[in-house]
Amino acid sequence: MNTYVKEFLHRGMLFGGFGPVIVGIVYYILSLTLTEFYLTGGEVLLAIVSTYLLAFLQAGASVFHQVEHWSVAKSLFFHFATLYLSYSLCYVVNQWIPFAWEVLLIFTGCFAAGYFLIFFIVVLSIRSVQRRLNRKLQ
Amino acid sequence: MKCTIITDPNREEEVQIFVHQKNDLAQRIEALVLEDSREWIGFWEREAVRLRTEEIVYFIVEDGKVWARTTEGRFWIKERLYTVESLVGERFVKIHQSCLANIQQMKRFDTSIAGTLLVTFQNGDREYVSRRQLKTVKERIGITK
Repeated sequence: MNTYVKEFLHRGMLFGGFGPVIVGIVYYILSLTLTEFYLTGGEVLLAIVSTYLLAFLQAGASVFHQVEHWSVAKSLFFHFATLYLSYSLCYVVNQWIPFAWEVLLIFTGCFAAGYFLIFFIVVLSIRSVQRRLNRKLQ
Repeated sequence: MKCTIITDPNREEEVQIFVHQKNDLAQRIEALVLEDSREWIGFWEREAVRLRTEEIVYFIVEDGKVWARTTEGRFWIKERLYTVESLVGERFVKIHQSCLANIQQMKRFDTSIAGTLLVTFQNGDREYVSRRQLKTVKERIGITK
């Protein structure tokens, strides 16, 4: 099996369990704050399975940035697309956002803005470390 | 303590330390000299080659084996990576789970667009630095914060 596929599955399996844990915490907080909050068994099952898959894909997708023979644009595209599709599908199937194009458009805008903001902060902070390391090496 | 370096290509290389009693500095110099003169047996096909620690660019685990990369090529060695790590001392630093890199052989660091730190070695090879190891790498290279 391809090393990257193996790494994708490995990371996915390592971190996939965090999805249901987080959704459990969110539901618990909602149950404390909302007076009328209840879920059917089907809704709970759907939330557990979908957030497991979401966390699995999110963790696995980090491998895309390490595929050396991929261009930067390609790895960025696949990473963004995987995250965007998994988040939007998870939110829609759980009815956390309605399936309406106006809402999806707003969600897409917010998601893209958040993604690229975090991305640039990470890149800038790594660049700063890189410059300091290079100064020391010289 | 006085320090004298005598350059003589005709004599065997040797370090002698004269102290009133064994102290921390003498022990550190001794450890450094021992690390530097340590030799490894590297295998490539049917050949066995002696490798000096200083000529090894990095040790890496690939296909379940530990490989020593030098400018001459790569050679698999019998030791496990954690054993190597305990023997090479501070000259080497772990840059990710499977790679132990010689700090003296590092040429420069680059940032990939993905936000990963990459190190380029003197021989042109590149390896990534994992986020987990970044703190250790910074400390070893001399960045405190």
